[in-house]
Amino acid sequence: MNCDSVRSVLDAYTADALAGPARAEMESHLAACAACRTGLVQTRALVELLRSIEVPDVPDGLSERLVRTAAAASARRPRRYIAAFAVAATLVVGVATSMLVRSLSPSAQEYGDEVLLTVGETRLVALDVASPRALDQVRFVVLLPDGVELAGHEGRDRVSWSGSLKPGVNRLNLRLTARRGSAGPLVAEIRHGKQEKLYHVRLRAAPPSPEGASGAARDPDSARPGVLT
Amino acid sequence: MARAFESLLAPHLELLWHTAYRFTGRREDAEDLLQELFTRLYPRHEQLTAVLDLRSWLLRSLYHLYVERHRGWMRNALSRSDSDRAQLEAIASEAPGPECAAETDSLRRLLVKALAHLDPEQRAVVILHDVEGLTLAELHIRLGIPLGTLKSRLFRGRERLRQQLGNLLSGSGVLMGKGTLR
Repeated sequence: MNCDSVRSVLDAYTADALAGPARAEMESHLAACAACRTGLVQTRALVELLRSIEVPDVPDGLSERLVRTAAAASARRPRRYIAAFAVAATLVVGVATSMLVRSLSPSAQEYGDEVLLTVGETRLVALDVASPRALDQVRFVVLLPDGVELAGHEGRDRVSWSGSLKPGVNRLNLRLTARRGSAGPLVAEIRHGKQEKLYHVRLRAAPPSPEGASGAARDPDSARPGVLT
Repeated sequence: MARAFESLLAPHLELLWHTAYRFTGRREDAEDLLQELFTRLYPRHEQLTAVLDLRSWLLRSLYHLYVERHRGWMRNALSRSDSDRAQLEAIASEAPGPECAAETDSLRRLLVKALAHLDPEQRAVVILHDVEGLTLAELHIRLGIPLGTLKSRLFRGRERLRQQLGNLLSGSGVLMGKGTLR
């Protein structure tokens, strides 16, 4: 048995699954080969160390939280298209929450209405999130419907990051690009400790109208998602 | 439907959580990974009820999702992670000697960092095999990956970890006791 063949049965040997002549040959080689002995000791030490990495218990409410967000993301509730939004270069969707937000700007009335995107064009959708106090270690998760991408995260249907909220209104800028005609909700989840809130913004992506009057103007703003100002 | 979906997955949540945590190494990332899994599976609830070995099926889905999510990220990270690697090497060189009482904790932290530098496929196989205790034959069946590929990933993954931790592993009094050749 040489060093290569020792490597090929090292796994079986460390698992006590090597028996008979093969085991005897292996041990004979190990007795004479310091490099393989070191490799074996290191492998065993490595496995032991790997198994000693502790895993925290399943977080409280994890199952419920995962399912609730998954259900929200799969929801499809078509709503009427609000023409007024179509001519706005920047759409601000006010977001109300009983957890993070105590009061809400008038734009809250817009929340829940459908936002039109034009296929191939980028549009800024801004979520205003008001917080009664400064919050650190806030987790943001954005789930995107099929065919809609977030600038800087192309090809992803889910983007998450950690950040903070300042007291008052925080604007979360999302630069969205529709790649094809589709409809569905953008779901934003904001979590702080055990508190969390989900927001739905219904999106509809349509091809540009022949006269180019869709109004979903390109946004010159370079704001990036996750930057809360 | 939400309640039925939750009931269907509940018996497997602990396995999924443990695996996701070990794959990602961070509570928040583990939760994100599981969230993405649940989000993708939710619309397929009806299909899931027909899966005979749901545990294996979920494990396979989690594995593929993890690899899919991290492959691109890893490629980018590795191309720009010279500073990370330098930091890892610096930490390794500064690690306390075997006499130090905190040695194992220090090694564990180094290991977590070293794991993060593995390719996602290697990392997943190392974790599922060495930590979760699944044999290569089980992984072959559960993940649908050829045995030779699994062996190769396990070997290369361990090799890279040993390269990062090798001297510390060999010099570890705590670990040498159980790692001594029989």
